[in-house]
Amino acid sequence: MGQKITIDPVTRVEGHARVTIHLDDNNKVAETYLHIDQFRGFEKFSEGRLYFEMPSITPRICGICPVSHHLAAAKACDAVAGVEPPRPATLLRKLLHMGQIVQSHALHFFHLASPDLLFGFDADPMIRNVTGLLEVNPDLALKAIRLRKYGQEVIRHLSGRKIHMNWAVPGGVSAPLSEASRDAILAENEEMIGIAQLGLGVAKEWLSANQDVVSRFANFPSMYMGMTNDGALELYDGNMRLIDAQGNLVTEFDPADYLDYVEERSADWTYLKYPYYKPMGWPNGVYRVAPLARLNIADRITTPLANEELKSFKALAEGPVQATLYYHYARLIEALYGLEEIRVLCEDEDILSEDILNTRIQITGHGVGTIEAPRGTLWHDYHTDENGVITRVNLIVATGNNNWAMSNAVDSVAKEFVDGNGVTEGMLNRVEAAIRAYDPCLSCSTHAVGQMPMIIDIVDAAGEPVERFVRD
Amino acid sequence: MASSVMAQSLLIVGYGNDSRRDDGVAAHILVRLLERLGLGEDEIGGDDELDPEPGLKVLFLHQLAPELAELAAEYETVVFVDAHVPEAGWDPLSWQSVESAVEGGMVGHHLRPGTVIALADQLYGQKPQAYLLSVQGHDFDFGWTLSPETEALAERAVDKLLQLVAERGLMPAGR
Repeated sequence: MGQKITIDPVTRVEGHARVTIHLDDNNKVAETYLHIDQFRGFEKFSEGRLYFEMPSITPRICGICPVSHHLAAAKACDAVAGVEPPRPATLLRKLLHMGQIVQSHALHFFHLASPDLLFGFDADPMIRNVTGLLEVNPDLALKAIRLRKYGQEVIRHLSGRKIHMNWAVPGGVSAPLSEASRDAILAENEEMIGIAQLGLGVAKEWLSANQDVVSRFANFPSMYMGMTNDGALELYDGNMRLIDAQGNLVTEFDPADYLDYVEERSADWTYLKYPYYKPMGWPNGVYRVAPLARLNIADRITTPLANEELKSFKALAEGPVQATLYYHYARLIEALYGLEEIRVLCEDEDILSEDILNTRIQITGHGVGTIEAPRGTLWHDYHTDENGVITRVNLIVATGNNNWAMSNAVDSVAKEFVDGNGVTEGMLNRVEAAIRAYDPCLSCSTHAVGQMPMIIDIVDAAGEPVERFVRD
Repeated sequence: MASSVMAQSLLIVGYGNDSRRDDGVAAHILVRLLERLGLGEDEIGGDDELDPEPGLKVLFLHQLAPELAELAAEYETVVFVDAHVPEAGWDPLSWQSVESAVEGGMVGHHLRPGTVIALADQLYGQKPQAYLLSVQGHDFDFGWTLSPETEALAERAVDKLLQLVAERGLMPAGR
């Protein structure tokens, strides 16, 4: 009789999730499902609010990427208010966003990626975590924390707060950047670039030395979607680009028109929907987002060091780089880009300008804000009445855009590495690592002690539970 | 690092999501604590962290993250303030020591209190005494107000923190 394995919670992944591995009668993996058990009701919660409250409300969705929601909300509010922020305000918002990219990618490297990269998937779980990292490479751990803190400090210099910010507002931002803050950010920038390059070295060395694992680990074709600006990597404002598995351009579109191009499919085993490219339908229209996708769709990066890394990245394959574990590499290239871009922005002649707010507001009743969050494309779409009261909200969050990718990765890795005749810790960790590579934020809106994110269940062919692995 | 730690210094770190009702009970507790320490609404509302008195810092976070370890290493005592679900099996108002250890399975992007202390110890050479003051939550739905049951517990939690501040001689002068 076949069996089912469930992983709950997935270690070091945000939110409430569960993995169920169904075994066939020979105890081989038949199919694997990723379930997101928490319903995200933020859209309904927002109805009835005034539109300009959204940049303050929506960062509460997430404890790790509040800036992404803050900025996507502000961009949507610009459109609702019919205002174009002055150039200095756009520069400052971009600077805030780069701080977010750096801190988020640094946290992923320190907390989620490096234990796997330094110890391997079969290492004792007691050391395959931050403690192990501290013991074998405390200098790297310290530097990773400093990088994360630097990103947070960029955010604090601009918004005055690390959380619950009320800084980006419709038409611009509420406070300029001081010269002292600009200088403080610049003073540490070069050292932080060095740390990002150190992390890149760790990732590249591991990927190079473990090509057998990399090539077998969730290495599958898909389309890729992300934002570009004249073909260059773009994280704040640009056009969406979609390429196919061979690297051919499928389409480019204005992100405000996303509903013409993206549709979501529901499934009865998870609350998280599956977005796909609407003209091609489900399942032909599935795509991946986030760092791997963004580097696959970009022709170049506007900053020199990251652009050199992009060339090395693109040399890995003739078309798009497909292997899931290269997300780690791509994420660090983006961190490097973020640090270089921080310097570019801080050296812009308009960065200290106090022309930061356009107050000529005329309510349009609708606005879409799109941003490339650390975890992928994030859409905020607001409808309001004539007074600016929110009547309808649609959010497609970054992790949602990678829902198919994570599900497919889990299924692929389970089939490749899990043997139901003798499930080992290393097998289960590979399944978890497939999800971690996408750095998902599944539902970080609550965290109270006792509500832990995830379970792995094993179920037989008759649907009967055989074994449960709880990570905490 | 250890030599720079001020005797009796106290860091109070509340964390949670204050838009998910009782999950954010720590934010309510800290605001009330600051009010009872004599700080005005304007002083409290402007930032995520305040220093009412030398040696006393009050900080609210959405979740615990690695860089908190550096700050924790500067204090003799750290008190974490959080919410817990009934299934945790703890007292409704729970006060417990936090051991320096990587706790649980490192779930999510956030750290647990024990991990913050472990990082403070291993990276910065200072292991503060640490405690968790946790309040049982009853309603984790969207909203900014507390459930009546958690509301009552929050008041007791404020009393506990005030007692701790007073014992350390950290009551703001002239307040």
